[in-house]
Amino acid sequence: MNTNILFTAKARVASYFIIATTIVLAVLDGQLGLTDLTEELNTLFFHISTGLMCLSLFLIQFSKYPEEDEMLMEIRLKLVLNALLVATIYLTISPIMEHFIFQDEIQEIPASQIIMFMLLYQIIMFQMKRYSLKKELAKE
Amino acid sequence: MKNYIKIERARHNLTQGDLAEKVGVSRQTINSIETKKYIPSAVLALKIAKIFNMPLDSLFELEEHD
Repeated sequence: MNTNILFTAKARVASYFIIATTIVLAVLDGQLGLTDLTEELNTLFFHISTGLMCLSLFLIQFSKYPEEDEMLMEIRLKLVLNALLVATIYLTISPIMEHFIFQDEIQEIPASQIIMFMLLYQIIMFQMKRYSLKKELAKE
Repeated sequence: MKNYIKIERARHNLTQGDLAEKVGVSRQTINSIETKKYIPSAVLALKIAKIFNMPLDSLFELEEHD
């Protein structure tokens, strides 16, 4: 399987930087005067930062590792399928929980939230799989 | 799918790392193939067979449930 479609490790480092910067900006928005901006600008910044977070998570998941080969690529692709299933279940369960358990008003789930959820799921599961493969090798 | 990579590797006095380097994959992948946790692609299977200088069907064998 061709692994050349993956991004370089540098893209992953840049993504970590973008995520860290976004989190710092979100935490310090009061001190930086971002809360004084108009509601429209605030919404714009929120959407841009959410988009950047999604893009960064995508780059993290689809960038090369030193031990990159066809097996890791297959694990990644299987996780895309699993994430789609988990996200569909989440979409089904979420309104039921909101209505019957939290007794809240049912709201639309933003696409960015679903994408972020799927990417986070893939990243966590992929790192767990990588760790278990390394552990297995150490046992040999 | 059954395979005889471990036996052939021992016969050729190769470590998992040596074989991995020769076929351009990680040691983890060779280990996963040997323990039947991962089925290699046709290209990788052919590369491994070439290293051991034997036909593919002598190195890999289908099992009943395959």
